Amino acid sequence: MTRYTRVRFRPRGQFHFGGRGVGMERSDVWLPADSLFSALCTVLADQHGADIVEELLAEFRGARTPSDAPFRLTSLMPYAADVSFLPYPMVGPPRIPNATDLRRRKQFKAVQWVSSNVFRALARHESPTAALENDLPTTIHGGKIWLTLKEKDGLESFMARHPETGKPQSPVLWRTHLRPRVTVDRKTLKSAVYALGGTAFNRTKDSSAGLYTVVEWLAADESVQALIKGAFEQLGEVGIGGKRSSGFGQFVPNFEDFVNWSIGASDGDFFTTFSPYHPRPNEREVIGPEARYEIELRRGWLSLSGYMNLRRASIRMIADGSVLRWPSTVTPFGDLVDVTPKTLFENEGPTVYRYGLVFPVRIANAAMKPSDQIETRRQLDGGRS
Amino acid sequence: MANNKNRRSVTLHGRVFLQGNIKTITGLHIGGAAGALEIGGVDSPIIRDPLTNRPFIPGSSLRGKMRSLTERLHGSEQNMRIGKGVFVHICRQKKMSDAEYREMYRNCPVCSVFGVTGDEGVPHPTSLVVRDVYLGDDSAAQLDRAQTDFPYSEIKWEATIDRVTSAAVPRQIERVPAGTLFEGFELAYGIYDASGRDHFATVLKALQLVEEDYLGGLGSRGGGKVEFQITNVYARKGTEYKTEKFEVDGAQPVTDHLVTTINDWVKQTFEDVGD
Ligand SMILES: [Zn+2]
Repeated sequence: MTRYTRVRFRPRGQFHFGGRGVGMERSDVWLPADSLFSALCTVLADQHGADIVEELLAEFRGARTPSDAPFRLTSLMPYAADVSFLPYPMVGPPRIPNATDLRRRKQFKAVQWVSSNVFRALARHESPTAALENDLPTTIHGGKIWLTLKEKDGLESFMARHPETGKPQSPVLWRTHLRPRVTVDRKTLKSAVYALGGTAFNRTKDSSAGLYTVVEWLAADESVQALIKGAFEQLGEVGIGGKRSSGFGQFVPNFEDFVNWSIGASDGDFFTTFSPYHPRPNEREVIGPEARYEIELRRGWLSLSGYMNLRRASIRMIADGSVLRWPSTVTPFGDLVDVTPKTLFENEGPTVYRYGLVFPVRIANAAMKPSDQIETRRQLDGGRS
Repeated sequence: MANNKNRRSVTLHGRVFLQGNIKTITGLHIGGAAGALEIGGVDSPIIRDPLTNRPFIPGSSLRGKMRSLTERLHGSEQNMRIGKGVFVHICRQKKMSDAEYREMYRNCPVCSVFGVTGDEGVPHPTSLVVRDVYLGDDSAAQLDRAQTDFPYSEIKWEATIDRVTSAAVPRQIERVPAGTLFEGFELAYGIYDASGRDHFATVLKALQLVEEDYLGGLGSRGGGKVEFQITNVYARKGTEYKTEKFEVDGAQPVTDHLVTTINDWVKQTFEDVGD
């Protein structure tokens, strides 16, 4: 039985994940699950008509427990060759002697992404020795990615070479760069110049870096699974993110079905999320004691036939990588949030939803318990300020 | 993801894909970031892939050129201000009803193919997608052997005249040499209705216009001439999204004959697409 499908997006060019207008020059290396979900709905509506999307959304909204929802998915996260990356969960540095040294803890703090092997060790509170070099994290990308030594060696083909000496440096998996763009007035030939940020993933002869999502099939039957996989194919052709008509954001999807994705702890009172999460009112407990989370404002624009400049209502969601309390009475689920812009509402236009389902992965209690040493350091921290 | 009460009438019937190569006939200069102001850098560098350092042709440049030449061909009105003294064409005009606008848009070879700038409400998503085109491995190896001034590029010295002092100011311009092959050129064209299908001719015509004109800078001085070589044409259509191929014999130039036969084939393949 297929329970999970990992969809790898092998890039066919660059991506633009970032702002419009002001902020156009920025481009991120990931895309939150809500944006991915909206993109899938758009291609489904394009190809099969709006009714299909309405039916699908109704199933999500009508679900009382997570297992009633058709599926859930993670944000788009980076991968390189066969190493997948996940957000560094907010569990803090591992409980090893070096991590209690203030100067060294900084190196753990800089990490943004961890390989799935490192993630597993952190979530289960296992010793991450394979992922350490002299008790410090083995990192690439200026300390932002933490992986195991073996994984780092496996990424040798992504190694950059020094432009003058030719000596191999650390693997480079992606780069964001500025692309100058120009718009020319056809009559006067006057031009307006602006800069556009793009994220380029590295590639070698036989493998590439790119983005992936994991879909967990909940109540979806085989026909829905096929429909969603078809939507990923379509999305690859039209592209995802900004500036699609100029060829940004296109990719070739690759599907891997599997039954188990054992990435977290088997039990524990905590969990992290791989998608921005909008808790339902009865899930408030998740931000209870010891929860460590970030709140992000999700907003954006909406293009809809017949309307101009529609700005979605903004909402707050709990960010990927946050560590939350597993509630005692309910299973964390999340919600589809109504973000219908005021103008649409006033004109009795369509209702617009934003995906806010959680993708929960258990974190062991031991991973969260502060050790004595950490406590000592915390006092020290306080003393410095 | 709209839960729609006023149904969106638009449905994608399929896409036409056109693939091939782009060969430079004269030196090609598509400007890159001005980050090359370091010592030894050229005054006017070309755009390069940030990871491989190879020059490439951004889809946006090619698409922009196709669009502007099509606008010029049809004499489309330049009516939307997007910068100081810079105007582009959109179909929407003041005091125009939504229905009038939709009709105008559908019949406009520019808007229905290339879409609109900004956030105008439109009858269907932008039809045409143009991908970045990368330097082919063979051409890269060839340029490596040729030991050009810079990796995969050469430097052209130009004298520009200072308008005040009339003194000649020498300037270095980087360009990709003539005869270079960029591979993996691809256009994808979505067909949403019969008028969209019939506008496919605009896309092929635009390629011919680009060949007659130029890509990138240096155009007024003979640079930027390119040639398209079409290697693959196919359509994917219907809810099953089946592939149907148009037979291309090797790498074909965009001749009037090829344009006509591809157009006929597109019309035939999407014959059953209604309004
Ligand atoms: Zn128009």
